[in-house]
Parts: sequence; structure tokens; C-alpha cells
Amino acid sequence: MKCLVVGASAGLGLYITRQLAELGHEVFACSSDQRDLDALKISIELETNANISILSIDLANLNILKLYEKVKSTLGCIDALFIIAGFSDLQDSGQLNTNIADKIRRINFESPTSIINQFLQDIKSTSGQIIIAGSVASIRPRGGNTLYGSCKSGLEFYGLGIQHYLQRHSKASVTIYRLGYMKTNMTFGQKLLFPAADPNRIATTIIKNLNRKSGVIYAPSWWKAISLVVNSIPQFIFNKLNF
Amino acid sequence: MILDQRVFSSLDQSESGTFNYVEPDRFRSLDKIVGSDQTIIARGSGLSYIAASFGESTISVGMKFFNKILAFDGQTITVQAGATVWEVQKFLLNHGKTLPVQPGYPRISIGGCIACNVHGKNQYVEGLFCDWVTELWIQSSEGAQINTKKGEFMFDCTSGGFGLTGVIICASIHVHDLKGTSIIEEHIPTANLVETVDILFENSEKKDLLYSWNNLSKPGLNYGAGFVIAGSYSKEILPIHNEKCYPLIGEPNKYKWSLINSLSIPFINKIYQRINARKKNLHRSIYEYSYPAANQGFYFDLFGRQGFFEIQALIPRANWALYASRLEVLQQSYGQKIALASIKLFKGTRNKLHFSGDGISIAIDLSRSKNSLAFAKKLDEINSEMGAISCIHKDSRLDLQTVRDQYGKGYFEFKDELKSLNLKGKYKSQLATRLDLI
Repeated sequence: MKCLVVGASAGLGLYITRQLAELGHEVFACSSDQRDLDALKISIELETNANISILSIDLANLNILKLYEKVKSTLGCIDALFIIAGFSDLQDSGQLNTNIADKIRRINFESPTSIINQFLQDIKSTSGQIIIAGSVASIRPRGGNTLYGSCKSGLEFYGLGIQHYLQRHSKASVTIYRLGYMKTNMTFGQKLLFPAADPNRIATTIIKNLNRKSGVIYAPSWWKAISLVVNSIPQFIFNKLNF
Repeated sequence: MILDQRVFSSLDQSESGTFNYVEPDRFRSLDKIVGSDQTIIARGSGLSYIAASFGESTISVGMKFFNKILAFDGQTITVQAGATVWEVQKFLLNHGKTLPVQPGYPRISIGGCIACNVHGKNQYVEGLFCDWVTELWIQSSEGAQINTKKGEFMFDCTSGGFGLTGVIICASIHVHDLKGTSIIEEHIPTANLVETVDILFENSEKKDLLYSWNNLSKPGLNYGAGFVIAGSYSKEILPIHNEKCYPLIGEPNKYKWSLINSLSIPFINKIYQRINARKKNLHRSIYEYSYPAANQGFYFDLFGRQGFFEIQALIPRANWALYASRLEVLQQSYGQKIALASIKLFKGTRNKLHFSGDGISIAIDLSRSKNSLAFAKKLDEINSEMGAISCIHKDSRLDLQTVRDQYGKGYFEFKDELKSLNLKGKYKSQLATRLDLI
């Protein structure tokens, strides 16, 4: 399989990249810092027989054509597109600083949709898969993580729309993971309501589900129960909750 | 920068508290922390006996995500400082190579090995960890990496520099061919401390693995009797099926009570000696002989929350017989039971605050109490009188005066070097404060 991983150098994206390489897939890894990518590439290639391609991209300022040309010239048509990168900010509650707001929108919604749009034809032609890292923040709109949650929700909406489109035109599929808390820099130092999962284990789940599942999946799965509870709270009670 | 509050403890439980902690998972985050005006100290696995990776008003910077292998050409491996010795060793074993020096627990970080310039199980032959390090990369506060090679000033300061010269990002280490795929171990009984050292020297050029266990639980008949553990590489392939490792964590002991105390020590030592003194032809996998503490980490927990301390001293060989008798007399006068004692031969030269030089290294563990602390203080004086040095990275009790007395100009040399780097107190730990290094 030929895979493009967006957000590969840390957290979930790093583990997905590593596991894909260990399984013998061809991987094109993207993230923002060349140093992280260089270290990732060398270490994976030393420890496996894989050959990883890398490209430093800035999702806050994405040159989509450059990314597409580079991937196309390296791998040809890809079979799997992993949109893993995300960005959140603790100030994301109500009004946000404009620069931070722009960054959240671009990294979590605009650039991912742009990438999916650009690679859609390739995915369609290879009957491939699009895997999107969504978030449990999109379970229900709330005052905390407002913009991040809505971007993830929008990305999910877009992903499901693409899935609907693909099902009428090819065998390609879209899987959206509503990811719960994970032990990554996004949750570091925060007091969380629920336990944070090991991103390596989540990566294993995602890889295991390739070619098997599509649609919206909760990871870890127990977040589905939490989602049901959260969505069943009457709005007048929900409005009084502070989270 | 988001800080977490974590409870850290030295392995010996002597120093603990809640400290600020960050855990960068990418270079951009590390740039931010190192480039800030905060006082920081790098933290690898956090398993040091002493408070080397945390301190008051200091942010501990967890390096666990900087654990990648970056280069390997068959002779030298370049690896990020957050990688553990086992992670590196596992990779090397697949290529028929090995790290020349390894501490006895597999989850110690490479950065920690460099910062303390640790020794392994046969220092007499292997040397110290930094003897095999050829190059270092240290993160500068401007965001660049300072590359420094062996023999250069920054390299020399950073080797055994307790993390006080900066955050080590990666290191190049010269590796050795693997001489065997397992080790055959024998235990040679010894009658006392003097005989132990004689047997160690007899075997010093013949054996790949060499150290002793001695029963110092109480003075008197058979004081210091025990056995020398001598091993040779074998071509027999033993599977590394057991990578189990008792999880040591750099936090306060969860067990309140101490099971290693003045009542249990003689009994435990007697049984241990009886079972192990004459064993021959023991086949050990590479993992087992490299990391004897891997499955025995519960030993540290048995000291309970009061903890323990380890005094490891390097005594000139000429003074050994006298030292052994003075130790026994001292122990008798304090009625002190010693939980564990182990001897290794050392070869080398004294160097600043490194635990290095020619002589006999004896490590003793004591359960922490008023009496044992008083005993240890007296032993410090004996060590100083007899030209010995105490291992700084093992002993949280060592005070400034004792270190100055024992290390002499080595202490001032290191302190002056740190001063000359003009780091303005950027890197600091509890250890640095205790020894007035910054």
C-alpha cells in the first residue's frame, strides 16, 4: 500500500507511520519540522527495511500543489491518505486571538479538506482509503475548545460527504475516528475528565481496521457510551455545565 | 508552554517533591523550552539514585520522545539521548554489536549514562561510558545544536557533567563486536574482603564479567565472605525471551514499611550466600547478564518509604586491607547492618567529579536511619583519609565539604569550567544546589 501520512512526526501520526513501515507499506510522511522528519525517516529506515519519503509542510500555510506533485512523483497514486495532524489551544473558549483562530481553522479544517480534495481522484482510482483523525470534541458543541471542536465537526461532515460520494463512484472508503484523549502534547499537563489512551495502541487499532471498517468510529470505543450520555443531556442542563 | 506538576523522587527516596515538568515531543517544543528564560534540567528515565533531574524553581525537561536511532555504520551508533540502553542494545544485537559499557538496569537513558559517566560490570576492562562516546550534540538556547567532539572543551564538560552544561540531544557511541551470544557464569567463594580483591585481580584479564557479592551484614567471623561472580562470553545462543523489567519509577515508594532492616538483613544475606556461593556453569542470556537489576528492582522497593542510600567508594589498592579492617571496626562500633555489598576493580585516572581512577570500588547499601546516617558520615571521613572518592551519582547524602575533600582540585576544575561556559544558571538541579556547582 502507498500511504500519505499528514502529521507524522509526533503522537498518533508517528506511531501510524512507524507501524505502516513495519508492515512493509510505502510511506510518505509529512509534518512541519524537517528535523523531526529527518530523525523519523532515519530511525524507521534503520530499524525496518522500509523506505520512507518525507516532506516538511506547514498546514497553517499549505502549498497543496507542491505537496501533491511531490507525493505523485514519489509514490504515484496513493492507496491510503491519513489526515492525523491537529492543533488546539487552551485559549479556545469563546473569543480567540485572530492569529490563533486562523491557525486552528487552517490546520484542523481548511488544509485537511484541501488535501483530501486534491488526492480524491487518486484514492478513487486505487479504490483506496481516507482515514481522518477526528475528535470527541465534535460530539456536541460546547464552550471549551469551541473552534477546534467545530473544525473537527466540519471535517467529519466533509469526510462523510466524501464517503457518500465515493460509494456511488468507487470502492474507496472514508473512515473517521472520533479520537478521545490521548497521551500526547495536546493533553499534556491538563486535568482530564477521562483517562488518556496510549497513541501507539490507537495506531494499532487504526491499522487493524484498514480495509475493514468505514464510517465514524470511536477510539477508544468506550467513548461511544460517553457520547450517548453527553448527547442525551437536555440543553438547559448542558448550558450550566462548565467544560 | 504548558507545565505539568509531577511528583519526583530520587531512587534512594532521600529527595522528593512536586516539580515542574515538560515533555517536548518535537524539536519546535524543545526549542521553546531551551530558548526560554526558565531554569531547566534534562530528565531521561528519572531513575538516578540522586536528585539529578529535578530541583527547586527548575523545570525538568523529559527527553523520552527523543529516543530515535539516527545513524549506524557498523562501528558507531548515533542515537538521541532519550533512548534507553536496552532500546539501543536491542538494535545493536541484531547487527552483532554491543554497547561497550552498560549500567545494570535496562531503562536508563543514554543521556543519563553520559551525564553521570556511568560504569558497567567490568570497569577494569571496559572503562566508563563516556570513554566510548565520540561526539555529542547539545541544544543551544538559540535553537541550534552545538556539535562537539571528544577532546573538545564542551565535550569534556558535558561528559559526566550531570546535565549542567545543557540538554544533550544525541550522541555518537563507538560500539564493540559481540564476543558471544550468552555468558557462562561461575561463582567463586571468598572468605573475606581481602581475598575477594585477590581473586578479582587473578581473574581481571581472563573474564568478561567480574564483580563480587559480599556478606557485610555483621562484623565478626566470616566478615566479608561471599563470592566473586565471573563470567565469560559463550557462543551458545540463548533467546532473549525474557525482557521483563521490574518497573522502577522516579517517584516516592508506594510501600510504606521497610522489609530490609536490621532484623532481616543478616537472615536474607545468609540465605542468599548459601544459595549462590558455589554456583557454577550458569548460562545467562545477554539481557540477564547485562541487566542484573532488571528483575530485581523490587529490592529498592523493599526499603520502603524511608529509603536507603548507597555509598560507593573507590579506594587505592594499596590501602585496601587497612580499609577493610577499618570498615569492620566502624560497623562494629555502630552496630550497623549492611544490606548489600559489592566490589569491582577499577582502572583509569581521576577526572574532575567522575567516579574514575585506579583502585577497588566497594558499594554498600544501607537502610536509611539515624544510626546508618551517622555511620555513613564516619565512613565519609575514613574515605577521605584513605584517599578514596565517593560516587556522586549514587549517594544523595554527600555534602559539599566531603566532595571537596575527596575530589580536591577536580571539584574546583569542574566548577570553574561550568562558570566559564557562562550559562547564567540556565541548567540546575537539586544535586547542583547541594554541591554548590552553579
